[in-house]
Amino acid sequence: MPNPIINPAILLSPVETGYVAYDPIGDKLHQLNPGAALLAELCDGTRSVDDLRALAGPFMPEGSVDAIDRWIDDAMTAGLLTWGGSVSAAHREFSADELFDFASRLKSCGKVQTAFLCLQKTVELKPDHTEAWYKLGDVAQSVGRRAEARIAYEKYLELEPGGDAELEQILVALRGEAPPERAPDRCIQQIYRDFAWHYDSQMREDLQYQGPERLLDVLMPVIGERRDLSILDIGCGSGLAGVALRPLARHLIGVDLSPEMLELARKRNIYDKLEVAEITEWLENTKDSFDVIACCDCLIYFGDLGRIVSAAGKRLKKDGGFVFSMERGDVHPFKLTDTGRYAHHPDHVREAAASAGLSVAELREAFLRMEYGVEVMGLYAALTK
Amino acid sequence: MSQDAIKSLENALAQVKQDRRGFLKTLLVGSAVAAVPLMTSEAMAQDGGEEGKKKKKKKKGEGEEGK
Repeated sequence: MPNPIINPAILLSPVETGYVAYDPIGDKLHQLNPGAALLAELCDGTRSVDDLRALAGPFMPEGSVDAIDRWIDDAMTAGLLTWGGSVSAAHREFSADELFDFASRLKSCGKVQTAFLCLQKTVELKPDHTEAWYKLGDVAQSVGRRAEARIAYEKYLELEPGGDAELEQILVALRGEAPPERAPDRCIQQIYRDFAWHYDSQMREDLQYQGPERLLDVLMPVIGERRDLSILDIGCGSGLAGVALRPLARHLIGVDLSPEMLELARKRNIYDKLEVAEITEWLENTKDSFDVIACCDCLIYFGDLGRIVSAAGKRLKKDGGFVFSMERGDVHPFKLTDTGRYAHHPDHVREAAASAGLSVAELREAFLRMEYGVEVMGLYAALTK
Repeated sequence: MSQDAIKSLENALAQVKQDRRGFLKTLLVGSAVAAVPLMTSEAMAQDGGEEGKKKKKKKKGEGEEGK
């Protein structure tokens, strides 16, 4: 009788939980625990099933020797093993580049835990693989491995110094350092330079983003029947909120730090004026006043809200409203999260409003968007003068 | 794992490539349960759903994995 042997088409890699194996013909992923990994190593074509029982049986827990036969049957059925000849044949292992490509595919298939294991092995095989370090950090975050994410991002930045302002911001959070007052301009500009081309589809379709609709919910009670308003949309981005605001506006201005996002907003042809600028400075320098100042999903890049709320309050007309959304946080006053964005406590909104001499007309919690498959709750505020 | 079991394990490990022995021994010595061979098999799907999707930049041409 021929001996069991690893299917020669299979690619294997040791990972921290055992072995990962990929069958490119059946397009199947196999994950082997440590005992199965050892048996796989022993299945090199030179040992019979009896030999395997004799080798592995003595260290198995009492009463579990049958598990060897069961595993061989399962592995044969799954295509991991085949009945081979009697000569020794080494199985094939992933190269670092093959494993990186495989990990990328695993991630795109939603198998992030396995992708994480494969990326760990990739950087072990090829420690100067910059893309693998970056992706390892990203996937480590996805699976909640903060320490590994920090190490991976630090290694990436060591290999690509000064190459990623967003990662520098994320690392502040992962290291538990005191957060900056707000995300640096170059960080925001970098994020949206890369993000602009697929922003709308990702936010609306993949992440079910509802910021503009929920913002309108808190705005409508403030403006009542009033229309033909002068509206300023700060951090207007691609104009998603502008679409909701336009029917209420006589004059609609959009301001954003990202030229790429403003270009998208321009194409919508809904704004009377668009400007590239940092929004706090813009508010502090303008002489114009507005019925409504809206800020949708932009204050996530701000820590302390005092300065921006004060600046907005000064540019509101009497009975005007400043409406904005943010990620809801449990830490007072705010927390820099591992995404590099800030989450705010509702009390901080009340404090910032009081300091600016504004009244809190609405402050409610509602769905913002999805992230990692779970709901992110937003805070929606309407402050009035 | 008992001393006898560890000896048996070392005997089995002596049959595999040298660069794997330490790795497998570390995984196996700590837990007797880990020695019971188990595997899972699954088809690679094209779209794994929401698990990895987040608000994140993705460079043009990077495919879908950045979601």
